[in-house]
Amino acid sequence: MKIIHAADIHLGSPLSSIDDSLKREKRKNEILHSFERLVEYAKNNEINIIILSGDIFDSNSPYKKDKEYFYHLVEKNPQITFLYLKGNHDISGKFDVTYPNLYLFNDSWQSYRFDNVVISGIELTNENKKAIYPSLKLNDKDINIVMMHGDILSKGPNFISLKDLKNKNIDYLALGHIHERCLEKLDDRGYYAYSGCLEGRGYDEAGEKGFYVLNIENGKINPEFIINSQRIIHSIEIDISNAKTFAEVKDLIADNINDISSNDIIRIYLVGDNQIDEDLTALENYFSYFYLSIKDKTKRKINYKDYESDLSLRGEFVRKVLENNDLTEEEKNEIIYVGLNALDGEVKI
Amino acid sequence: MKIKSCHINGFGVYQNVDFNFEDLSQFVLDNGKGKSTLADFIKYMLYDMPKKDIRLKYAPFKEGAYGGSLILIYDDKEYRVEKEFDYKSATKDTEKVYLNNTLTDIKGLGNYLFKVDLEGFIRTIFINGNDLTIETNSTINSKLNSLVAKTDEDFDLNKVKNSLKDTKKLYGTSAKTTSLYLSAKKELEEKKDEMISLKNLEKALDLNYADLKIKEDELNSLNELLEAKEKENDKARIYETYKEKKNNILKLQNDADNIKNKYPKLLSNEEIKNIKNDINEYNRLNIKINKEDFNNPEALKLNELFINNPITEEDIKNIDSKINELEAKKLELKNKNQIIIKEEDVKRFDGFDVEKEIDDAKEALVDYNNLTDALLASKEVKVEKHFNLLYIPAIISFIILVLGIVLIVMDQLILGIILAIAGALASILFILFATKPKNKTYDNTNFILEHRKAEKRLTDILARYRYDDPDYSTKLSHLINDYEEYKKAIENNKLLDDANLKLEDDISNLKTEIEEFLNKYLPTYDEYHEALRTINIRLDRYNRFVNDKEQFEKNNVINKEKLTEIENKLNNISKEYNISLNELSSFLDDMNNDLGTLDFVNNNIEKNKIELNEFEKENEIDPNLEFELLDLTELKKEKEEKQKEFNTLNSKILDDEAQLERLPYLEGECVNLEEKIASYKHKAKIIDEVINSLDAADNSLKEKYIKPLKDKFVNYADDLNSIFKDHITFDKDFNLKLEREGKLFDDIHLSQGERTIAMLCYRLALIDNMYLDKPFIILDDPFVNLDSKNLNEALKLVKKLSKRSQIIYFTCIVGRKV
Repeated sequence: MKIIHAADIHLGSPLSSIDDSLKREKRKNEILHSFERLVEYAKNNEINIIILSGDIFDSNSPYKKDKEYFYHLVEKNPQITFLYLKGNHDISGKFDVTYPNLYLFNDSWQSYRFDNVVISGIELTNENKKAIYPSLKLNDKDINIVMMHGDILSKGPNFISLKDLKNKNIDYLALGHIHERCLEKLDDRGYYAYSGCLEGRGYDEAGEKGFYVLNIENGKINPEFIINSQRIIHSIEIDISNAKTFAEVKDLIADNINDISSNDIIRIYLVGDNQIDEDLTALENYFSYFYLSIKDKTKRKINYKDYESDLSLRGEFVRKVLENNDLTEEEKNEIIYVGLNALDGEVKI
Repeated sequence: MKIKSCHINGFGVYQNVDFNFEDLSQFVLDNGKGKSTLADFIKYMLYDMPKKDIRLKYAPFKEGAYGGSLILIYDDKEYRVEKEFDYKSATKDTEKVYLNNTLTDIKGLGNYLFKVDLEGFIRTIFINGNDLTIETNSTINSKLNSLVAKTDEDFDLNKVKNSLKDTKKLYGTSAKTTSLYLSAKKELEEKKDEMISLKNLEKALDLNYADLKIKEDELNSLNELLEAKEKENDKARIYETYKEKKNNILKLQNDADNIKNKYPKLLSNEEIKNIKNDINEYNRLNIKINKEDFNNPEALKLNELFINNPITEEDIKNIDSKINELEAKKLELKNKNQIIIKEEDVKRFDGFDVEKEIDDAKEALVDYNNLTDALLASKEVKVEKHFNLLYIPAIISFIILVLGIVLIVMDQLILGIILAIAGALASILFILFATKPKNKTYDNTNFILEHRKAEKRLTDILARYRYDDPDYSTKLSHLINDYEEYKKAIENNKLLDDANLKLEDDISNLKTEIEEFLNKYLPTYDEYHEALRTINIRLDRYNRFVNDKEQFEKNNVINKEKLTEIENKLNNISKEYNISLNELSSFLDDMNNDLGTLDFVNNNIEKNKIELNEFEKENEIDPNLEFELLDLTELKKEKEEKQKEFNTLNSKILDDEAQLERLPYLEGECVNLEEKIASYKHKAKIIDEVINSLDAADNSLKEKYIKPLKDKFVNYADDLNSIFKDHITFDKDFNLKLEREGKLFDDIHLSQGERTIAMLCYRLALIDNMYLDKPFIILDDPFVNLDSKNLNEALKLVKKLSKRSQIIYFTCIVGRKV
């Protein structure tokens, strides 16, 4: 038996990482169709169960078109059973349509059996978060897959305690919420896994995206990650402290992104003690990628000691700024940078 | 720094004058005698003379050079400036600056040495009683500043500040300028408005979703109702169909009854068929008995033809063989061709005794040939060959010639020449005679005449035959051949003519015989065989007529009996149905058709009954029930309208959702714009802070050089404290202030005398701070406003000053002399 574990599709979520409206529309379309590609994969590989560990929709009241898109795929593929557990984004969302191949969960443990595979799930609420662990009862003879949506690290409202889920006969804990995939041992018997999102949307969702295929053979689950994303988002920090010219900055960027596919989306953060006065748009346009943006996070490098014994207006100016306790260090830095450049005949701000 | 001397070539009242200057040089001159002129000469030797009116003012009173020279000692070096002024413009002035008598490229010695411009010079070193300004200017400040720190003396802080202010305008909030800040703010407001409208749309969307749900429910209810009504109507339709089916059967039964009632007795198909056969037989016999006609025109014609001219098949065969024979003979005749005799030959030979002419010609040709031979023999020339004696004298003459040549060779010229010539001539003559031939001739006149006669005879005969041959013999030979051919052809044709005459005779006989036969049976014909075939066909038909007639007469008796029998039978049937015998056939046809229809109707009735039965079972029909068909038009209309409303709202929701997709981006854009605005404000703040800090730094620096300036000023003022009623000082902007009871007051409260002294103190303090190497000081009657007491104090100060700085002092009154 094969089962697909996916989560965090976030249908209807905005895409603000791309400023170019044409490319943004293209990318939105790719993200929208990521779920369709997953279903296609299931069809092509004769996989009849898809478990979705939360946040299919981006909000509790998703748009009609997004709901219709999801329902349409469920209805069009009656041979596939969709098990959907709501996440923190769509927890209050109501399903106003029912389909025989769409299985849902609620705020108490609900299980569905497929031969010797039992898939259980619970939707986290403020009320049930303490009771979920003792109330989970699983037969050790079954292959137990448990679906949950929450955070295993941060002890916020969506916290999931791995500690309390250990030694509960779980073979595979199918989690949703964190958009970066991970697969780790839960206990001697089972694994826990975040499948991550299907497509990266923002620069905090860099890397390969997709879903897990759980190959169940001889009473064992063997998870395999399948890359589903059309493009990969890369978030790269480049230190340009040693770059003396704009051309050197360009070369540094080129060296860092050389191995990246031109279909990918790249965000570059320029860091270090340096100052970029040239237009970054020109630099962005120099590279041919689906989308590349550059953010300047460099710090202006000013050596105050140079002005300590300067008796001229420069020295006096620097001293006056540094003496001003109403200014923050960052402001002082900026004021000195602008003032010294102005005294050199050029206003740079 | 000191002024050593000057030489004036021409400047105002001065012309070609030298002045030497001491540590304290005093010039006491009446007004208009050149006191200020000398002071200004020194000034304009160091700086450009600015205005045209001043140039005109100091133009030499007498014509001559306009200018002079000035010598300065600074840092143990001698500077000499030589200038010649133009009457109108400084650009046309000539200026030469020498350093230790060496020409330099220095232009503007004042600027070079004092580092201040003319204004700065007037406000420091050049102290004039009429100018009480105590403000510094930028060059003074720079000079002061340069003493404090190493700042570029050309630096202008105001310029820097203006640049910063210009940049700040980009980020500023002033509505008077087009700033990035304002446009971002405007854009933000627009976007926020758009956001508000989208958020309203979003709120309305929830209502729309609810409304859509209501509409969907209503639509579903209507659909259910319509479905139920449609079901009722379906049942009504079934009963309607059932009713239709029953009625249909009744209608068919009615049709069957109508057919049955049409006839007193319905015959069977077989019976109708038999009666129809009888009618046909009756009609056939009737026709056969009454309508058989052996007296038709053709029969009569054939009868007449063959009764009058009996004919047998043998006759036909016989004529046929005769026609064949005739055709064979015609072919034979056609194949026997005569030799064609040329017309030309007929003309030449027919009617002439050609054989006699040929004999005459032969004879004439023999004569002619003989005579020709004889004539040719008579014309032969016989040449006799024998030795000629004339060769002897020729040889002798040749010997004489040789002898002559020998004599010439032996120098016996005359005799030699004579002998040679004579020998040569004689040799030629004898050789000519010796070589001349000798002929014999015969008389043949008679032969020629005979020959001509023979030829004429020959040509006369042959002329008529016109041959082109070259000689008479060939011509004659051709004539003989042609005539032989002609004779043969004539012979041949004569034989053929005889055979043909016989054939033609036979053909004519055969034709007569054939035509005689044919003409009996056919009035016209083209071809014998064709005519014979026609006769044969007619004969056949005639024979058939004869046979048929015989057979008909035999059968007619039987047929008439049979006819009577059938007629009786048919009359009985007609009577039964009350119709005439003539109508019987069509009556039976109608009955036959009706029988078919009845059969079809009966079948349909049976079929419909089965169907009705099945329909009853299938639809569980209760024959006692009846249903009305409901009118659903209004309900359907209502549903359509509801559906339309639903669709419209659905489309609107989808449109709104599409519009709302922009909302998160709009929020992002607003955040960006707010960030931008904050960034612009921040930049404006930074620029303000830069400007403030620069001002603070500038003031701080000023403070640094104001303090020593103040110190010096106070030193000088203290020396003259008896003059001032109040403590005198100045603020950071060099504004003179009175300190009275701990408060600062503006200098308007100073008397003119106090102001003069304060100005002097201030300028002296400035000079002290500006220059380490103290420059000369020009005092152009500065103390005009002082009373005698204060004047004495001031003059004391000047005297004291002259110990460290060169003082060039001008006054118009001796009483104000130091």
